[in-house]
Amino acid sequence: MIGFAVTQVKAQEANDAVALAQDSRGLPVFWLPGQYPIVSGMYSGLVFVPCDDQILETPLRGNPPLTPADFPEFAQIIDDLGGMSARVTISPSDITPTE
Amino acid sequence: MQYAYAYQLNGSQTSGLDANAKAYINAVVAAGATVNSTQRNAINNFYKTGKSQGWYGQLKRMFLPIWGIAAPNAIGMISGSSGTFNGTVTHAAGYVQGDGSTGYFNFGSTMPNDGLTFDNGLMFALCNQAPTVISSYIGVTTGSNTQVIRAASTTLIQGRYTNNSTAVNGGLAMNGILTLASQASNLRSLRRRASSGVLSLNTSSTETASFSLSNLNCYGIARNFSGGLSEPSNGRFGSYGYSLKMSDSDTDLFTLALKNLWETCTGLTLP
Repeated sequence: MIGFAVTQVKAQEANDAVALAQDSRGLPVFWLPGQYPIVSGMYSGLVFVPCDDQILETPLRGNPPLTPADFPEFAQIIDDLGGMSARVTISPSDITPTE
Repeated sequence: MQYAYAYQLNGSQTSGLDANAKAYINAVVAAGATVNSTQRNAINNFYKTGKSQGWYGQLKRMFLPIWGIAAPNAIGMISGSSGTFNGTVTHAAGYVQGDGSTGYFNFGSTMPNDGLTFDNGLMFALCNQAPTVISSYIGVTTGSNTQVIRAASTTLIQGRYTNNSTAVNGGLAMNGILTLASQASNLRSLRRRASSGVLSLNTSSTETASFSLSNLNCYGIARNFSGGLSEPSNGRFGSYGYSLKMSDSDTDLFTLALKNLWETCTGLTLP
């Protein structure tokens, strides 16, 4: 999985910014990238914010649908996470808890 | 006459519809979905059938994520409010599919706040392709207090509506429309509707003392586990939701209407 391994604060800020981008347009918050505690692997203790091609190409709203990259806030949110080059690859098992 | 007909077909005319159908169609169109006349009629029939048969009033939350776009997929058919997709979710024509790691849907609502109780509730999920991993279809857990429909393994469907470990196991019935109802303090009913018909998978008559359901937001495509994500699924889902309790016969009427709605709107066939 590709995304950002950042602090809890950074991950929350990124999700809050995505939520604000929807709320400020009078929309319900219908989509977030999410944030997932990393429980194993070299980034254990940080929080994972997914940012792979599928996330970036998510059809969000409209006809034709806008994707996250179509929103003007997108570049700033990515910059605040360290830029696209800061993305890392982790194993799904590093974040996935099961009962 | 010709103008009126053309106006109806382009999806911008919704007069003459059931009021709730009209509101839902208008909402999903405003969010980017294209609703053709066949789909509009199917949606209208679903609402009208539910009201005439009596089960519509039991429904509290229901989502129909078939539109291929996140915003309309997140709109509730009953409440009108939106839930929130998180992580990697594929928005395909006819269903949504998680990645089994990060993708899930937060209803933005809790079962007890919507009136569900330990002896009065029903959860459902339309799964048109079973997951390949242990995962939850819909549910919430706080400690041992669990309301969930899950793949306990890839060959065992399981329902829990309990504040202990009591499970209702349904065997190899991983797809179709799955319902788990709490119809009384001593009656849980796990059922499945497939193309071949409807079947009781199992019931439990274990007496349950009164308890309050988990008051965390319900998740679809996964389970809310004490506020965190648990058991994310990579199955494909065309609907999920919850309601107040229904009898088995009403449950079967509801799942038949849901099957007709989903199949007509998507052109897909229930497994």
